[in-house]
Amino acid sequence: MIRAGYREAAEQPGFAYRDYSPDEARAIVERALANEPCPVEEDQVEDVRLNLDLVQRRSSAPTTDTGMSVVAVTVPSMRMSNATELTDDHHAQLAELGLRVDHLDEAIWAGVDARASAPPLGPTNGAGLLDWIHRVGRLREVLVAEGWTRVDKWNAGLVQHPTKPVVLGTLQGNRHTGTLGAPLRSDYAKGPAIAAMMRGNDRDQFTLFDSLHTHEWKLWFLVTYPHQEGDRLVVLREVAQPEPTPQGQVVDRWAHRITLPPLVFGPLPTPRGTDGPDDIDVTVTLRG
Amino acid sequence: MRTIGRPRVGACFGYADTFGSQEGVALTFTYGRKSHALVLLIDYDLGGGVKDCSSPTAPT
Repeated sequence: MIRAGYREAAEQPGFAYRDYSPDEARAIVERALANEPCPVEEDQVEDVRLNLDLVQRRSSAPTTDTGMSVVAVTVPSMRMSNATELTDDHHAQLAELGLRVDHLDEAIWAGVDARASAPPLGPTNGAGLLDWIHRVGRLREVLVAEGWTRVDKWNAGLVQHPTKPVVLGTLQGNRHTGTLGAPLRSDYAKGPAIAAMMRGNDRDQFTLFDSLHTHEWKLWFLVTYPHQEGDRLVVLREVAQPEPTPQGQVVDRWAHRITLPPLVFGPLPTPRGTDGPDDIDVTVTLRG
Repeated sequence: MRTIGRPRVGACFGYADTFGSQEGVALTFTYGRKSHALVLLIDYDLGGGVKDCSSPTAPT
């Protein structure tokens, strides 16, 4: 724990442990920020480069009723220049598929929240894997609650609409996710299950939504692409139907794309359905 | 812009050497079930600026 680590450090001769009020701590931080950063070791230089901006933001943000400055975690609805505004047309297109924006937000948020729990020394793909697991899980939870059915053939992680010929999955896209006309492609090649499910998909954009009245299942994806912009996590997003794509190939041809504004998260996403805070348990090694 | 959450400040504490040359301070925040901290090392012998800072979030 941080506090235990500090107390242990303070047991060394010449050091003393101190508790601070939020105002006292803030004053110390503000005084330090008024001076030039002074990292010495290579890792200190890197730490300061990566984290000083966050410290400055915390110090300069509006003060809360707790007396400490913090940065609010926000979801700007329409702030990015590479995505369109949320319009009635977006809502109508999603409704054609039996979807609402809040279904998608729930899933994306669950994935982002799960990323934060990836251990720093875990596998390098740990955060992305947790994101996918929770994104799929939450998406299916909210839709199954509204009558959809989970589809686990070949562990594909899909969910099927109760009446429309719509099957929905999740997919990681690229930086063009959410930008209509830009070359969207999947991050990974698709396996046999997804390839098989795409066989009935449309082959061009001119069949938009008419195809929903056929009897052939159409596989759609909630396509997301998370990336860091400063201290914010930005998730580009859209709902898209790929053209039929052979097994082993990345998906880069799309029959339909419903591009949506990105979700922008602050550095510290807040979990929904909270039960109150747990203890902080972080080991701190002091460096001189 | 729609606010979906706001971190709450928790305990703040630190250590300092008795000669006043170096000070460590930790500010903790909670976000529902999640916790987070900002940890700073300040070196007064080098001008009183931030010598090191980190933002630990994951339990160990």
